[in-house]
Amino acid sequence: MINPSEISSLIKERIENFDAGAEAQTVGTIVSVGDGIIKIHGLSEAMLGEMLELPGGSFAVAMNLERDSVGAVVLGNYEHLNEGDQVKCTQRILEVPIGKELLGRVVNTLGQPIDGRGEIDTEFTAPVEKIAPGVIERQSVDEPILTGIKAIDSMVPIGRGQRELIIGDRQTGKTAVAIDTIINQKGKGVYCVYVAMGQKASTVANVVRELEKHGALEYTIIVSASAADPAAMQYLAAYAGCTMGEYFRDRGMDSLIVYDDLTKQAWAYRQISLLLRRPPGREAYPGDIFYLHSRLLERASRVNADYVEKFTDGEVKGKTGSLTALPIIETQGGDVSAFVPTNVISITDGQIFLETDLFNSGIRPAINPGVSVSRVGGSAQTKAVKKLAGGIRTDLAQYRELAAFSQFASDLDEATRKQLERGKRVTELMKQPQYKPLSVTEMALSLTAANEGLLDDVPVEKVNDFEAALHAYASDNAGELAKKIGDEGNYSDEIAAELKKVVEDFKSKGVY
Amino acid sequence: MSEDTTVANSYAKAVHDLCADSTQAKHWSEALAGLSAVAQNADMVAFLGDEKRSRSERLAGFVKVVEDAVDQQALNLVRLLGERDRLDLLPEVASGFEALRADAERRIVASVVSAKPLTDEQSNQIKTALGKRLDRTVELETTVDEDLIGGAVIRAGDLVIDGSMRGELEHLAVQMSR
Repeated sequence: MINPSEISSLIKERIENFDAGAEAQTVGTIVSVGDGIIKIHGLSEAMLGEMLELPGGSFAVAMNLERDSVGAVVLGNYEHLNEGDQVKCTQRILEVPIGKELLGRVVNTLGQPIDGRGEIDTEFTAPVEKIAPGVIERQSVDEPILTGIKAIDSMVPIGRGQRELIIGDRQTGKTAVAIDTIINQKGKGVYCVYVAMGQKASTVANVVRELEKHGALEYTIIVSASAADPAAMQYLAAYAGCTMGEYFRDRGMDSLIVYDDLTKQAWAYRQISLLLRRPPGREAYPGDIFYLHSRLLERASRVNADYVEKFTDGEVKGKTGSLTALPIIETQGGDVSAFVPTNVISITDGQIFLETDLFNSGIRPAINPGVSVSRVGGSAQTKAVKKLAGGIRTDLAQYRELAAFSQFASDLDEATRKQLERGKRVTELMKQPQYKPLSVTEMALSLTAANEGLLDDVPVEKVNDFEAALHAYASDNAGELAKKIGDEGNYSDEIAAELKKVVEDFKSKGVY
Repeated sequence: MSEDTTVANSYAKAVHDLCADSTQAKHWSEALAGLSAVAQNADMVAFLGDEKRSRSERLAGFVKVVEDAVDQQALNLVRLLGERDRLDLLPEVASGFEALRADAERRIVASVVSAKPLTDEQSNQIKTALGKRLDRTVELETTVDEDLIGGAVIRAGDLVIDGSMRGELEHLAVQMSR
């Protein structure tokens, strides 16, 4: 219960601290209001991207500076605005609160809590639009961010500071991949930001619940601008989330940001641009749609220790920081050659393709290993997985080739048949249920089983049971080995031999 | 409204650029004031808005009314505006011109809305303080609005200094509701 005296004391405090001085302000008059866009006459000193104060305590962002007027987008409701209302300059660029206080919370684009868990009191704020770190400040990507998903960590590894696109039609498990990755960061010192743009509020609520259930919410910030929020909030949410993620990067920590999804963000931006009467281009997107995404994704980076030291005034020494980005793009009918998908594919350092056909045939995550690539992650892959996964990719590639071919031929030679059988099992092995990310050791065991041909005499439909039982067996009997491999994924001939032995021992017991 | 102002400002600037000195500017100022008064006359507004007449007819009518009152250059401006069907912009051009003229002569007209009538001493104080701040000679236009409760609101161009009780209360209300 709220104590009434507390309220009045709060009010008293506010009244006492109220700055009643007359201050000079630059003001303008609203000329027109419509669709979240206001046109303001006057306001000659407004800056681009400046927050403008509207009557009723709401804000707008100046987006078009014209000779005698300013075009601005309202952040929030605009029903209460009238022609002739006064608009004031604030001389502040749009800022959001940043800091660890935001972890575990759900906030809107402006960093205001929307989870009903009380106010968030952060020490700092930072502008939402920032310039990405320059060449000198960066360091190459050489540490992995483990997604815990076999198919990704083995075939399209992601490094800290990389931008890896997750692309696919609706209902192919794009968000699931991202959420699994967030869940797998537990205890790995990676802070996560999940930005939901233009999504159903119920979907966001589900994500929050799942993260909470898996103990992942405590190191995650959720920025939500749902489909019901104004377009301006939807388009700015990505930048706001990025600024929150940069807090960790700049202070020598590692962070991960998921943009779910950039297609809807582009739609929101297109809406604003068209309403501001900016000329439409291809698919009616404005001319700067590429820059919209490129400047956002450039901010995901790995920065070197000098940058961190300089940024923190020497408080944090010898530590690099990173912000890894997992943008999500939803394609329509598998069309990756549409405008926004091609843009984002060209910006990012690789992409994970998810396909409806694979998803429907039960291969989940529905990753197409043929067209999924990671352009920088290879150098960041853990040693163990890198060594062991080499064969997987070729096995799968050959399998796909033969599988198409074998549909015509009835009798196949022994080598081809073997190849096909191996491929079937590897495909089966790459399946993984949702919310069950694997540790490096578990992954190494599965890969060893496939590589050493130990799966070859396991019936295809039994592969998943075999794997699950193997992991259970290993967690009981191979604790030492798990320690040796660790999260770093150490690997040597000795470890390889031990891995093989564990799988063989398990197999000899035949309990699957 | 803002588009009109933008267009009118280009004419105002052109006229202002024509003025070599302050006498000429004053002359133009009078001419434009006269022209905009004519353009705002109810009969004239109806005449100019009459779609049945051709553009040149409307222009000729307007010129006939004003040709004895203004000089050749001003008449040229009227013709130019008329050819482009912009005669209704004359009041905007006049006010744009006044703003430019005031800016060039480093004058500014500030409006002061106060809760109670200002004493001479108060207006002088405001004039000096504003003049110092804006680096301009200030002319005051004062009005009284009791709704302000107390204090005054000073407005000079886009700059507004709200020192009224009502403004403070509104500000407080916003603060409290956050």
